[in-house]
Amino acid sequence: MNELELVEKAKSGDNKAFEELVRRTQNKIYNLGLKILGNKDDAADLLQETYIKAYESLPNFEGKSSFYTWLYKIATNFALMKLRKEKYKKISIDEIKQASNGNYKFEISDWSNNPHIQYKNEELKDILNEAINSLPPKYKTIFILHDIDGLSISEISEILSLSISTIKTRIHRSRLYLREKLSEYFKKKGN
Amino acid sequence: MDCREIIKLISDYIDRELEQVKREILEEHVKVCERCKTILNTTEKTIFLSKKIYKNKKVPRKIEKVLFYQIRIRYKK
Repeated sequence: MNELELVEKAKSGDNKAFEELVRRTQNKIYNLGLKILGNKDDAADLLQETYIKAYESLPNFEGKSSFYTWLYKIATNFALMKLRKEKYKKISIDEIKQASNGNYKFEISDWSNNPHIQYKNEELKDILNEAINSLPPKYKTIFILHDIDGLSISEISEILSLSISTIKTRIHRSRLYLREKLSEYFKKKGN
Repeated sequence: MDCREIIKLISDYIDRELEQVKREILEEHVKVCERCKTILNTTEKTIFLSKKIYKNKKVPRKIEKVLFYQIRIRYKK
């Protein structure tokens, strides 16, 4: 049975159909939670809250977007709410804007073929993880949705109710900021 | 187009969202500008590396069990 048929059945009160939708989508939602929130407990909370909300709101689901996009919207809103409460050090919006400003003094060294990235480099992984986690919540979420999960800009625009140009700007700034952090790392390593 | 304007186009270029004329301008520019070429290469590599740091996992059985319990207790309401 395809997604649309399952959604229709679930909407008319077929709980088995809803459970089948949960089974088909739960890994994606759980992984989204792990990526955005960074730990298993919060990802489990996100998973639970997403499907409870989805179950309760199912009668209002009009099918204008795909069921996935709708779930992502619920999950992302929950994640953003949780992220805003977190107290770990985040960079300011000004800092991230500055890193993508044309006048910015970019760290220029071409490390794209650096041997350190050919191996399983845990240090590099930590640096990148820390940099992604330090992005302001909406920047981080947009970066993960687009560059990690592969959602299109228009899907993200729908999920976060933001304009296409805002999404694009935030993706661009996040990328340049992360690039800069990696450049600093490779500079220390002697490129 | 100067370097400042080229850098603004880098993400659209990577995402293949750039119209042909601008794409050609960017491609010509990075052929002669080492700085912009480096920023483009390292930005692409940053995206590539970011994808690599996450490994997709299955929902652990225990978490799945609690999830279905939480959903099912709502059926009667």
